[in-house]
Amino acid sequence: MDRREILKFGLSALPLIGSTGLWAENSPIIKPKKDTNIIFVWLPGGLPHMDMYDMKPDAPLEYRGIFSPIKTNVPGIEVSELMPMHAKIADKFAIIRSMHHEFSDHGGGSKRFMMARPPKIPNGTINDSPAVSAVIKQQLGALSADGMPSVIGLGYGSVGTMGPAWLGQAHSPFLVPGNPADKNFRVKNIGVDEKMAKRLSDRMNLLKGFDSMRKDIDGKGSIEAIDKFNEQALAMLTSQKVKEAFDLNKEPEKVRERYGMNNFGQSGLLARRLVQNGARFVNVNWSRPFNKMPKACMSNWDCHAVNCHLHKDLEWRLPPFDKAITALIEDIYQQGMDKDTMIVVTGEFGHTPKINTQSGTKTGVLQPGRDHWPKAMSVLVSGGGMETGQVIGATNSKGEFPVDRVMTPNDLWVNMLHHLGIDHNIILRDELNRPIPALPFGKPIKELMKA
Amino acid sequence: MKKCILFTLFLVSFSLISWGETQLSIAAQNGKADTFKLIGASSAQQLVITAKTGNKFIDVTHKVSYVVKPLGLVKCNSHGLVKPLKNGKGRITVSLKGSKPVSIPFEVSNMDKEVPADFANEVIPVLTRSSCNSGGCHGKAGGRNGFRLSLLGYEPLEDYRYIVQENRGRRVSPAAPDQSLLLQKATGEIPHLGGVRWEINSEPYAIVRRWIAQGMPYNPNASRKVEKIVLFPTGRTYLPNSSQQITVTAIYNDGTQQDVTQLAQYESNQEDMAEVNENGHVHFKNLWGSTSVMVRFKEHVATFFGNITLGEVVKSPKQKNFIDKHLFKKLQLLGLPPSKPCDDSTFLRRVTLDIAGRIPTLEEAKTFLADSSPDKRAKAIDRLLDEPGYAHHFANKWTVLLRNKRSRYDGARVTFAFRDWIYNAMKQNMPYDQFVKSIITASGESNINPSVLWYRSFKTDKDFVVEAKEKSEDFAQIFLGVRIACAQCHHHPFDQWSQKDYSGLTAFFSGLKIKPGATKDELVLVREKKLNKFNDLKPKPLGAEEPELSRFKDPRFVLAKWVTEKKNPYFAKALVNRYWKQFFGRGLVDPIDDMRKTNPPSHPELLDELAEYFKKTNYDLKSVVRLICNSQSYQLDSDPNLNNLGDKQNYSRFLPRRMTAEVFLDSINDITGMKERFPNQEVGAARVLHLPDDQYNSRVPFLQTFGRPMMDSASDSSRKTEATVSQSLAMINSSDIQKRITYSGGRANSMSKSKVALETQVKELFLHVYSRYPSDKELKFSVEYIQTKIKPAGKNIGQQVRYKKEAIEDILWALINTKEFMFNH
Repeated sequence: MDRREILKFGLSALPLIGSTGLWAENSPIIKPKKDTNIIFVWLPGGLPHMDMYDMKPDAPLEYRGIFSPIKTNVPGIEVSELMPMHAKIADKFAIIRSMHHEFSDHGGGSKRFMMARPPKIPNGTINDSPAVSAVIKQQLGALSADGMPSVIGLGYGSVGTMGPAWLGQAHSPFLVPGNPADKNFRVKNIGVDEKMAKRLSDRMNLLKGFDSMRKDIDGKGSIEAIDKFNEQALAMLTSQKVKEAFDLNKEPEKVRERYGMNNFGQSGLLARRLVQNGARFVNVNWSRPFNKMPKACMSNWDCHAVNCHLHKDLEWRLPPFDKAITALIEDIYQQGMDKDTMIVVTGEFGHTPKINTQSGTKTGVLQPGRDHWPKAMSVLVSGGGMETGQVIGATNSKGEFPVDRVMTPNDLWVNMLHHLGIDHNIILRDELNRPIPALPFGKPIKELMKA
Repeated sequence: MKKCILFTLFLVSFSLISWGETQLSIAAQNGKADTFKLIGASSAQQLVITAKTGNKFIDVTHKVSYVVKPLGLVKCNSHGLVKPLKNGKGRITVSLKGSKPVSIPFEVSNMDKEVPADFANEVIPVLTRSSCNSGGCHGKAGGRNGFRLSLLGYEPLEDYRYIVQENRGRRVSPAAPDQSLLLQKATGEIPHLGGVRWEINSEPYAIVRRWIAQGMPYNPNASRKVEKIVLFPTGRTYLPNSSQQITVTAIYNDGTQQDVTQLAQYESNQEDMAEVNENGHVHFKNLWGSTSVMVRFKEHVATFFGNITLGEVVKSPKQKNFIDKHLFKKLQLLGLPPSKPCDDSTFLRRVTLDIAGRIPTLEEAKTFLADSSPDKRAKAIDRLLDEPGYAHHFANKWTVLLRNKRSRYDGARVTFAFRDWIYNAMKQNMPYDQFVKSIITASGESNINPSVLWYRSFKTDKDFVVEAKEKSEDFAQIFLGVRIACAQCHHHPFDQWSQKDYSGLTAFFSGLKIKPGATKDELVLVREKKLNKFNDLKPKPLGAEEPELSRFKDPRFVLAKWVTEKKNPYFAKALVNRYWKQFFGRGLVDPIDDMRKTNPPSHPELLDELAEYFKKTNYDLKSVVRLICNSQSYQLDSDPNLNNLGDKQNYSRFLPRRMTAEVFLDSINDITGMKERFPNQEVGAARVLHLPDDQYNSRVPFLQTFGRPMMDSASDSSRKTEATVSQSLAMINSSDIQKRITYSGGRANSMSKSKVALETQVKELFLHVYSRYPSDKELKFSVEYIQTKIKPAGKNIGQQVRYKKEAIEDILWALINTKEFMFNH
């Protein structure tokens, strides 16, 4: 079918749209896609756009900071001097500079981004509506054919805002806590050892011998469902393919080092291995790159003056970030995955354009920092068959708010769902059985779509 | 297969033997056979033809032939839908082979007059029927793609503005009606995200086009108002795979009537039992029981009922109380034979799980099975009701319902205090009306009156204001079984509640603050509004008159009195229905907290009598439990007979259900001998059922995985019961399970060291796990497994014990993974 053809279809009396693909008016239809996936790099605390992707060299010093922009391989696109590797591959990513929302608390901002709607409580990390990632899991199923979890949360700390709320615990992500760069990094529920595998097989035989209750008598099919899920779980526990997907030792040392032997690099590489082996949405939580943290630095991206010395923190944080993210981008392009794999790099919000000087809690001296700022934020995207090598939108001269192509995280979610072959107009049912749209609003970012 | 044959036989015999005695009857407007009037070109009348044979009624509307005399006044299609053509009077004669023809007079008028189109009563229903104003399309808040409509057309005036005035009037063009954007979008001439809704010149198209061509008339005051809608028939008994045509008549406030069958909207309440099309034709499927179809015209709703019968000969077990009387009567009506009563093991396990929230102990099982007294089941019920386990189990239920959530500002002491108050209320068997009154009217310090803790707020954190909306929604859902949340923003789509009703109820809870008290972890509820100055927001209970309020009295006392009065139509029913579900897995009204006219009970008389019984006992909760558990119906087997496997709503057998997360983990601990410890609970005695709040879900992920609610909603459905892959992972290989089966002070350890004969040990294990002894096969299988595992140890005693322990761990693992263990059956 012609991708430009406009889909006409009749809604049933109750408009519970299933997989029927609908795009916005006058735009291409969605085709269910089997191999597409998203690596969603989450920078908890929010990335300081003024020091990374939205530099304002002409703004007053207290706004622009001490870092300078550098030119990239795409004329007109500039990034921070702390990210020289970005500068070499700007043709392979796009920067969105005009994203914004209204929630300035970490919890509230994260919920706003992940739930694609205003949270009922402006703080806290418990979702009151399902995260879009939970909707993705509901739509795509918990496991891929190979027994790989479809939606995965990787990394340090909390990925709490992936919560499914009333959609149900079944739609929580498969969580892989820890730092894949650590020597003793282990993944629970993956690749049990031989001894345990033998024991599980003994136990399953015992279970078969004991499990005599009729399977069709609960009237809901849940007895049969348990057997089916047991099989899937066992497949996942014992699958060699899944086990190897999580095993970074299968990667050549050169590749591992290109990503960087730290949390950023190795979890980025792990995410790439997971999507290669059937995962569909991997949320990679990048808080701190190294276990050991200098005194003037912060565990995550929350660069208030009380937390860290903004500039020293970025000098510590951005080089491994630069290395890891460019490794990931180059890697998916080199491996020909750039059509199927979409990379999104974002945090819950930006940081105040104006630098705030305060005494650091740990250092005890006055130091520069930036506070929370949801009114303007930058997002980097790459791959996904998208139009790259461009900057979309712009903020004003001081980086305070968008002045061109004003958009919200919902617009990006439309593109992400589209990439996975999911209709962004799907309607969910809440606990009162009310129809709730998965995305209450949002328009595709057309600039990203290849003509 | 058997059913099909039976059904065919029935039809054959019916047509051969009884046809001659069949009488036809016609129903038109308001279900009557009087002259029906068709006024104006857009009118229509649906006829319903019923064939009566003996005491059986069959709908033959789509089977008879229709003859109109004189010709040309009206046209009548083969489905009995009559449309006017020309002014005049005539008759339609209906005939069916083998029965006497019958006829009905009609009168057509106003065909020559241009009747002004009625926006509210004609155009809006067309948009509603086409789902234009549904919650997923233009009816959602903010509309869709720049065009919005009020949800389900409840606000015609607003809709008029949206359509006629917004978008610079470009949506309608009276000069060239067919060029109107509204029509061109709906027909897909201009690309429409919602697809093609109407064909050009189809009926809905014609209605909207006529309205546009007339210059979009709208005079809200001149519009007739619909007072109610009437269905015919309202309900009957049917065979599987049969059907029924319904007519819908709107009765207006000016006394006129109109057939709106073609304008109304239909929705089946049980899609697996009945389907309904847009013409009001209901098709029953091959599943028996009660089913209903919701009919909506504008803001009015009505319900059509059908009982689908299987037609088997039914021999019911002995009745024990009025519950059996009603349920067995229905089974008789449906021709659906119930399963046999369950055996003692099954009963003991079921009733212990349902009342005390735990599996029977080894001793209990032994004693009960050995007891030969005829009233041992009733005695077991009494014993369980008297034990603390009952109070803990039901306290857990109410703790979740009343949302004893740990907020960011309250310590564990707060949630423990509220939970303790609930526990004591259950233990003392506090009458339910008192329990509810204490909660609603609570005020003062939580140390003295812990029920004020219900008013804690989870949304606001600084100003301590009680969230009145949240409280009124919870109040309605928990104590009335009514969901009013929808009515916050728009008229409830399936119920009678308006935004006024919502704000009236919410007003009772306004002006309250819950502040930190004098000591740590103490909260104080105060009423800021000392004088009752309610401006536009006057307290008014749902469906009741606005009460007289004294200037100083806290209006919550008025609400508490209203809700607990014996004449309150919701209160007792909501509770007995909620408790019914606890024991039968499904409400007589289901979902249990969605009681409304359009979601009728499967057994209305039973629900009424249960509510009356509850009131007569002065709201004695234990009596309700005792009554239910002593019924024969509760004690039926879950194993189906030849006929009732598919039964989900007639209680012809017990429907197995997985234990709740709390009970499941406690039971696993009981079997494995795990001594549980939770923060703030005593070591050794700790049970999941005793946990007060949601925070333990994150400490014990197992609980969350198995659906222990996060207490974010008072909805019964917030407890998820479906199976998931994560549950399988948790059961198969989680540390939560592993640490329990291998627990050093636990059962695997003690059994491996025990000198008691292996067979005896296995027998006792089974008795504890299932409340029954193992079959010979199970016994042999288990014993052999253990022996095989020990064998490689040779004479090494230490290794024998170690291997035996491992083998028993495997058996424990397998037993807790069986459905017979996981399910209450």
